[in-house]
Amino acid sequence: MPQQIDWSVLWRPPFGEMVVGAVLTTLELSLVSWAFALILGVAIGMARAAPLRAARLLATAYVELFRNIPLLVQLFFVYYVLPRLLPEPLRQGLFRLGWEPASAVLTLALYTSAKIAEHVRSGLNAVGRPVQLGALSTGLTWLQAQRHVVAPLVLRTIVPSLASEFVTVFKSSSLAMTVGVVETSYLTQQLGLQTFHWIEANTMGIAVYLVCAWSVALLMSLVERWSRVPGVLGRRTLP
Amino acid sequence: MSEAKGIGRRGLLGSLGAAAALGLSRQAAAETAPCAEDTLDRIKRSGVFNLGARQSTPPYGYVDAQNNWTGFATEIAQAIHAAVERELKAKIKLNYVPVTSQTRIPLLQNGTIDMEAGATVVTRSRARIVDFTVPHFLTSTEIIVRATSPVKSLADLAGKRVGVPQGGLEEALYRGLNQSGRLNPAVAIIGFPDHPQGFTALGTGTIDAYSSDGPILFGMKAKAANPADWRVFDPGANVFLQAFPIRPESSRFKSIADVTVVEIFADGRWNALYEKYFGPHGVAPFEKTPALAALALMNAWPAD
Amino acid sequence: MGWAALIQLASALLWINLRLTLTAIAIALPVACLFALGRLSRLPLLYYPLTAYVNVLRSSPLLMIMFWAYYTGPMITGSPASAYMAALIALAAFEAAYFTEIVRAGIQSIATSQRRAALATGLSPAQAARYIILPQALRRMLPSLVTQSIIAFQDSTIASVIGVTDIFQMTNIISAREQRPIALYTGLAAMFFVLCYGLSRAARGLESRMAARVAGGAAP
Repeated sequence: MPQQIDWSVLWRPPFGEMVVGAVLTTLELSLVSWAFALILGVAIGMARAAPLRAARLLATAYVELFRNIPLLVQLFFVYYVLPRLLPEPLRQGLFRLGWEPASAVLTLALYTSAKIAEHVRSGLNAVGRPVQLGALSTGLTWLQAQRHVVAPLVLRTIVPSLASEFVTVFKSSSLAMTVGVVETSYLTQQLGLQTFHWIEANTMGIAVYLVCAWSVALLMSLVERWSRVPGVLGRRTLP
Repeated sequence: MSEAKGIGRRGLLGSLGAAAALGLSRQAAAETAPCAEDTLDRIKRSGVFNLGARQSTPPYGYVDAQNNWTGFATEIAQAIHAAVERELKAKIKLNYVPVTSQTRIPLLQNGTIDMEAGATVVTRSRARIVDFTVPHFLTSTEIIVRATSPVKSLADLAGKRVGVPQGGLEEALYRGLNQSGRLNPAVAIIGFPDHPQGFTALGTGTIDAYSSDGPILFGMKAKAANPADWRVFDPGANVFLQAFPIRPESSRFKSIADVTVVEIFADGRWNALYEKYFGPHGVAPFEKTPALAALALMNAWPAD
Repeated sequence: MGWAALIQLASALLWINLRLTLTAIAIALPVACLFALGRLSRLPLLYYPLTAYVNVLRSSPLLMIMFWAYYTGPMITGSPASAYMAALIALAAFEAAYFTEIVRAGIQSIATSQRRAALATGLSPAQAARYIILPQALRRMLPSLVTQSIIAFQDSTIASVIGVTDIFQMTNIISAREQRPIALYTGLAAMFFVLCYGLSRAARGLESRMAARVAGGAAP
């Protein structure tokens, strides 16, 4: 039982391809969720400052709902309960499609969009007002003003917060293993159970997430540099 | 904040440093690994027998309404604990540690538990890592479906969704069946972290069938609010032995455990336990197969 | 489904999730204060390891850290831990990393004149930190700390994955037995919503009351 550390467990067949498959799954889960979350989150975040009161209330309710329920509980709700609320043919279709990863992506996207909406709201509070008034005064409708003037500016100023949210998406994807998605965390356990080389497996798992976080940070710092708003706010942005 | 960049440089340094520290400390740990001593000596030294037991896997191991740890496997393990106390001539505390099918081997390996009493199947890959006591049970992988389900045999599963416990041998079984073409179209295999999740998924229709060890499924069915809603059947895919895993190089502990199990077979206690848990009025009614009866005969070693 | 189930759930919530969260915070916060001061020091011996710690812990999923604490940690240290202890160690270590960043931001936001004045009155750097800087920093970052604590409370449900019978696992078990996942998971979600929303509103109330007291943002 004092086994020797054997790193080759991570790449020799059949484990090598299992590792690659699982890491790809983590990447897919995270990137797809992030894409949806970004679009949804920005929309909801802007809606929180909309002139229409109903839009504001709905957006606030949305954000509060997803922020105050643990991600695991949301995931189980979506995975087990949501199909029950759908008609039978749709339900079967969902299952055939692969409800495990789909539910994980859905949950992660909704949860992250609420977080992004919050960051957008902070950004709006910090820089939105004067820009908004200026845009509106040029005769643009509210929607046009948001789309062409306010949103781009707000997004550029909240890049650091978005960066940390992006990293969080990768971390949160690990919970998908509880609904049977074979991603990196699932794989570390699988590897451990089959080879009994727990230290190697768990270290690999954490290394994968570290590399993801590092890559995201690198990418986002490039984005930040490229999108920096000259003269107004540097990188030292919001509290 | 430069945190975004900070994660970059520092994260790499940090992970390299952690890996280096890990390598060094692993060498140190190898000398003081928790399994270097016989389990019996460890129990004697600490005065505690850490038993990995199942909390909600009737009939093998579960916590009853009075919050007592009980079950077919748990009771046999309690007998082993009594035998250890007699051998060491000292009062030894029996500490129940809840385990799942995923945690049982690693917890044994890292010393958290001294023995696991659940539904662990004896497999070749496990036998290379841990030792097993004399097998005390024999079952097969079975399938539970809704009573109204059209699935009645293994072939009916083709193209459907079957849930299995993560980290058990069912995953490998169904993957093999898929690859060999015996299940065509292939069945979708979904791993659940624990049995309650799998059973819930079956109930909501997220999966068409849940497959695990036979008695576990019978136990789930018996404990359900409406047992008549469920049907368990044996697809005839495999048969296997169950035993208690213990750490290797513990021959003194193993002989005590083995003799205790064999005594339970020989003096009729095993039959009584079987009636209690698997009998018609038991927790999970399960008919004694010829193979199981043969096991009971094989393990009733004579006294000398 | 009855009262027995409700009592099981409530006791799991209080005895596991709440206890786990509060204990983890009680450990993490003092540690974070030390780490924050360490990260602001100029000693490379303190700065680099602590920065590595904070960045590694903040980049890793809590789930993986719990796996590490439960399975692999004992293999290395040689001393086993129960699932609850492993969850506690993991959560405390995880939150310590986040708290460290929050406290560090708080300390940095305190005007350096405070520190210089403290040293000028004859306090040692440690005393200055303890009596002047940290109290102000903590007070200033209280809203962030509370928000992070609420997140920690939600994250305590992840302990269920390593086998801790917390309220989430209890819900899973009862849902399987009673076959009523819709009612149970909705109820669980609602409970968390009410609790967390209530706590965050209270925190916001606290924040506005503090802001009213500390006019100007300088020393109260």
